[in-house]
Amino acid sequence: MARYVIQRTFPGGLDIGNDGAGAELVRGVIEKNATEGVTWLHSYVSRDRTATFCVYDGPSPEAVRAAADCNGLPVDSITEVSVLDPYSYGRQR
Amino acid sequence: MLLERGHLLERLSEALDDAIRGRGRMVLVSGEAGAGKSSLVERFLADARDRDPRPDTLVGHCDPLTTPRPLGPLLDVARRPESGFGALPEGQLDPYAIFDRVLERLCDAPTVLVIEDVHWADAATLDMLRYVGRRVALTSAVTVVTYRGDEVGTTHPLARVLGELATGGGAVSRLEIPPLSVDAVRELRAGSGGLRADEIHRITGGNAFFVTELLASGETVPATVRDAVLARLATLDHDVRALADAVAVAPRDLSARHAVELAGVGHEVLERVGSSAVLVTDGADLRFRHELARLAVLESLDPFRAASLHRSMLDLLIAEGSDDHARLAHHAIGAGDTELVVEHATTAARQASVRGALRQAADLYGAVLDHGARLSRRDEAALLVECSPALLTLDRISEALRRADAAVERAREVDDPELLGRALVARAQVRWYANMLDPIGADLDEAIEVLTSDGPSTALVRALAQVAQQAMVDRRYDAAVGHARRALDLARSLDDDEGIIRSLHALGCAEIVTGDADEGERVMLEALRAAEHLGHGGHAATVVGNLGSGLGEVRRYEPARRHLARAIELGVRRDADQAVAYGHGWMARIDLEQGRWTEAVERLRGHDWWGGASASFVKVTALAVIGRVRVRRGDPGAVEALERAVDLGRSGALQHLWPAVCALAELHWLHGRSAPAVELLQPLYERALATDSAWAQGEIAFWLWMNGGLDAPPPRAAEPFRLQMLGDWEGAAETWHALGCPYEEALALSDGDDDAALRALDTFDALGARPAAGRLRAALRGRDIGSIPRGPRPTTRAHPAGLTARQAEVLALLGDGLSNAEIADRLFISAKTVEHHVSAVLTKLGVRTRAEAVAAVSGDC
Repeated sequence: MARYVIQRTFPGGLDIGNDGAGAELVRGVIEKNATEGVTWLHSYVSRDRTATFCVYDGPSPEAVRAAADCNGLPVDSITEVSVLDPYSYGRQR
Repeated sequence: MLLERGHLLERLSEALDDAIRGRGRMVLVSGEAGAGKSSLVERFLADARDRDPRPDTLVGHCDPLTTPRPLGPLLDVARRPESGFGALPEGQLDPYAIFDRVLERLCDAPTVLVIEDVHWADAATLDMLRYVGRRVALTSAVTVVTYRGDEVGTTHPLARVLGELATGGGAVSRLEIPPLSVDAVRELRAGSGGLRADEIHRITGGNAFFVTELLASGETVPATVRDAVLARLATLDHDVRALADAVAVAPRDLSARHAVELAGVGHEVLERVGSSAVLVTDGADLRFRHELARLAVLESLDPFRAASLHRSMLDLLIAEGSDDHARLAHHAIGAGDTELVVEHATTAARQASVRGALRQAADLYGAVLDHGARLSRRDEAALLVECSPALLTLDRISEALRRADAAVERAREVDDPELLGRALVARAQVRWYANMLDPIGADLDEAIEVLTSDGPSTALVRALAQVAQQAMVDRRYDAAVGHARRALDLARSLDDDEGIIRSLHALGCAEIVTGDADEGERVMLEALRAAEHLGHGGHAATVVGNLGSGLGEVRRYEPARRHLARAIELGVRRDADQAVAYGHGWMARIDLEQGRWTEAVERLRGHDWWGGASASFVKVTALAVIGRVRVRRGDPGAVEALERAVDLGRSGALQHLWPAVCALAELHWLHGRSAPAVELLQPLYERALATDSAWAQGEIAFWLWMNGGLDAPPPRAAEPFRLQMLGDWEGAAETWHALGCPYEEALALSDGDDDAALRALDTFDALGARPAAGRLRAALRGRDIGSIPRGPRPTTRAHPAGLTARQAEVLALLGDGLSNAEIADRLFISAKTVEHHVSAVLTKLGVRTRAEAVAAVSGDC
């Protein structure tokens, strides 16, 4: 399983309300991701809500794209990443 | 995931609709152990809980106790405060007071009451079911009762209750859970290796529990299944158990006559078989209900007992004069009788080969060779040569290599030039599949030498055809065509049909990839007709497959796809896993080259192309596609896939190496790193110049040129590459357009005027080719162009309902009334992916069924 940051653009702005409908929407994405073996960990959203940076675990970039396709979500770029923790830097390994 | 249970859930849901409207229902759900009764009920309960208003859901279980608790399941339900039963009049002697209370409760509010596993129910629970069942229409509840149908014989107490309830009118209905289909097994299996779907279906009989356990454990007989089967066997009486042991040693079914004789029991025992739930009989034959159960019993059988059962069966068959060699071989192996193994397994292996049952043939050859102490060296060598094609087709490369080495060794020990020649040719062929190209020449030279001194023979034809094949692989036209023609003439003079097919195959391939592709296709179709006329499925499949991949290499996509589709179909039909995987690899490559990137990678998902047992060139083909799609999309993991491909292909033929190397060079170019690209391409370019392949020379030269390592095209470069390198971007773009390669077309247009470059940008954006688009945008900023489009427009906005292009396509096919499987075929994607698209479409359109989706859209337009 690799970790990816997926950059998405929403020209009209992202609109997920913090209510029942929003929860339903998010749950739908999680469920469809699961069918592709992909896990959405969390996202960073720009202040104007037009760009998101989503942190995902998944088996391959193809699986990440297939999940996005299922959910009708755009994909600008997929970057494979690893964690750099500044406070434990140099202590590991 | 719950597959093929949709209609059952619908029936249950309708029953709940009725109940909520005040017309209660009882549904009797039956299925064998492991059919998925509990999963179905759980899903129904989950769906019911999602309803608004939400019905009460109450569940009770019956237990497999020797003395079941009276009303156990009901008491379990009632004990829960939320059940709304209050205190049951438990102390009362009159059960009807309790039954009345149950009925009252079921009239109170919409309720789902589930009583599971009533084949184990106590008498009082059965009375309650009878009582409630007769009055169920008055309630607001749906009462769901599950039981194992195969355990309820005519004398089972539940049978009477079921009979009485059946006459109770429309309020009581039955649902039987059928076994899973092969398609469902295929879907569940997706992504895991090991046994093939139809194989899993065969040994499990589609039993959901067995299928899931088998997939989860990856073992032939998972421990959970073995325990379940053995627990069931422990309930059988001694004689039926003896019968089960006897049937377990039989490969297929066993005649009842043989079974009682082997088990040493009386005929009357057969009457008790029906209610055993382990064995089934059609009167004449006995077999296990599930092959997996047979394997579990066989594994648990004492080895001495098993051997003695095999021995007795062997004696019985021989005494009857049986000519079923496969069956005789099976029991001879089991009895450890080497002499009989050799006799019967050899015959059976040859019969299986001829019938195209390759797996069986390979196993039987293996059985003979591994019991080979009594074989003469000559016979052993001959058998070792014989088993080679089956092993290759089955993609068992290391076993094929081991056998081929042994064949040459044995053949050298006996003075038989023809046998030695055949063994050497067979080994050369295996070595080609194993990517051991260097020693092939020596094998073939020696073969031709020993065979020529022996006079004209079919073995010589075979050797010459193999030399031609090798030259074709090296893309040397004259050597390939020359040897192929010599082989063909000799084959015709000897009336050697198989030799004719092999010679035509080498000749046709050489024409396609290095000569006149039309002539090549014609020769290959002649080879195909000859193979079909001879009834040789193996040759026919190889010819069609190479016809497809050859035409793909020279970018004649339409006929290539047609032939590849047929090759895959033929491969699936005859267990030729390698041909199937290679066919998919090539289809994916064509998808990539034609700009269908999602389809390309979708086709390759769910198979281990990194490790896995397949031949290297099969993996290389797929990895080069996966890697190149990642390069062109700018996705991570491109280098890993391509370097793995280069690694696997390094010792192989140029044709399997060049696409991955060019993709790596393309990646370097996209990042503006020309020096490493040139260094990577240079040795490959030297190799390509020694061949007659225009496409290899063209593409390798092109990427050298793009990276500044070459000024002018080599003499043989394929047309569009040559034109672009000569500065004719317009001619190159037109040629790519005619071939149907949008990415390459856009690369050519990028060299053109402002208008052409903006068109190229559009194409890159539409393809999702972010790195190429980025590179071109950077270049255009240096020019004085009014406005450069800032980036791709999300295509999702184009569709009114917000569907992606692929979802819209799936919706259109739904409108044509196509099933998921048909849509999958049409779009070259998996049925699972279609299911995802369909559910995404339903969600976005806010409808529940496919029909509603189609209606919603046709209303729009």
